[in-house]
Amino acid sequence: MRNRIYLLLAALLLCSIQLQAQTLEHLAQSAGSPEQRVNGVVATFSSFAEGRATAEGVLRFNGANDDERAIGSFLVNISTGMYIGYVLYIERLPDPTKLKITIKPMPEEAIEATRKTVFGKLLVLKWPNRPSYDPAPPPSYPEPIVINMTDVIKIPLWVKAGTEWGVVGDRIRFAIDRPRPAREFTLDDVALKLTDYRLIINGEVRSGERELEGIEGPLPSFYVPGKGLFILSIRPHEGYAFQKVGMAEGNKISFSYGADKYELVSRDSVIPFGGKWHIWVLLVTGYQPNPEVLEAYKLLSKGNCCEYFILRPEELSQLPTSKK
Amino acid sequence: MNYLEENSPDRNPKPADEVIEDRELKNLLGEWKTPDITSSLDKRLLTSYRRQFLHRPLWRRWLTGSISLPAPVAVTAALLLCATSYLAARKATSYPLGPAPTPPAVKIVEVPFPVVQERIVTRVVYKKTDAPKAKESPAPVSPPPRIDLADFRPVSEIKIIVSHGGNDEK
Repeated sequence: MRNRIYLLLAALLLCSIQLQAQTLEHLAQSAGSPEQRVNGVVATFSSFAEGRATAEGVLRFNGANDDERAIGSFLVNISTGMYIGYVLYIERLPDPTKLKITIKPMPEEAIEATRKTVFGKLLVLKWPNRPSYDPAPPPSYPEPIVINMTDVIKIPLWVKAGTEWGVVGDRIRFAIDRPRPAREFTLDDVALKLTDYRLIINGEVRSGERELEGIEGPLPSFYVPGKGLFILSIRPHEGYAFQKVGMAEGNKISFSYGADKYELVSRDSVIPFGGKWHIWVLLVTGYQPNPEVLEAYKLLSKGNCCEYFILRPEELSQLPTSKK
Repeated sequence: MNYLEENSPDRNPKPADEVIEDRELKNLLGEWKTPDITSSLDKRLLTSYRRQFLHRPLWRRWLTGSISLPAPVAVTAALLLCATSYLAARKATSYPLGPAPTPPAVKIVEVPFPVVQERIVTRVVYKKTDAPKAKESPAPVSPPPRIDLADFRPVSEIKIIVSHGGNDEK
């Protein structure tokens, strides 16, 4: 059960370890992908507002877990830092025009795990005086309903009563997901996975007093102040000065750059199918980290030096002076 | 008779002389008869008048014509024109034609119309997001949308509102 919850959470907070997720607002932009796919259905999320309110007053985070047939949704009230989380389950029925919709509270394990993410720490940094950084107390939830595929549902989540009445919530549309065409397998489909990991530089643990949660993707990266951004890859990328200076074996990725030796040590194997592989490394010295994110990482693990995230291959071109 | 002598100040006629000269002039005028006016002169004058006025087009006569007005009437008309112009200018200053988004206008809408007006406001926001700028009103009549949700609370009960057939606003 715990793993399944983490799967949901990992999907929900995946973007917190992406390059552009430098603030909560950026995080919401990249996490607020309107289309979430589960169980052969595309659920398109948007925010709605009525009365004296606008949807700009909330940051919305969505993430889907196809195994769970569930979509997580967080809505943060940016005026107060309070947030609401719920899970939307979508079931297909024998009648292909019907869907069964169930809304449940965010699992307690997921809430607990959220506290240990960059997302959770950014909440702390942005609203330092809040007594609690857990989601708003779970209200009552409706019974499952059956709807037509063409129906639109609205879920009011934030409300203000009185003469200045207003309401903000999620609006969701549904459609049958188009089957995805088969494509060629490439090395970019091989994800390097770091779970409960540490960063060691020249034999010294620099990731702080505790292990970091985990990142997974084709280009795991970390920023070291005074050095720059190191991007790791299992292959070189044309047009970029990646150097074959590293090795992935078992639960460790190690490489030497200049006079320094870097090691990322994971709890599990960094490559799912094992083996011993060359690692290509690109150093981007012009990268400017976001101080807020660096601070959030220090809150995650006291004494941590650095910022960690997953880069997508198409994001390489967005980095400053990383080309050959 | 010398002309200079005649007009010199020393030669100014005396009143008695003037009376004699007037009498002579009157006698002369009484004896003078004006020549008879020939019928051809009448015709020439009439023809000339008709050529000048009656045969000119109406628009030309209207453009070149003139009306003589007694001075008191002209002055009164001018005073009236000035007074009405001044009043018109004052009225235009008090009620500008272009509505401006002034704070008092916002307050007027906020206080007495809690719900219906508010809903209109929200939909204006939607349209502004999607519509091209050319269609935007330069001076919104409704109050600006509220982004601050500080007073908003989580709902006490989550409900699902279903719009059948997707007939929901975008």
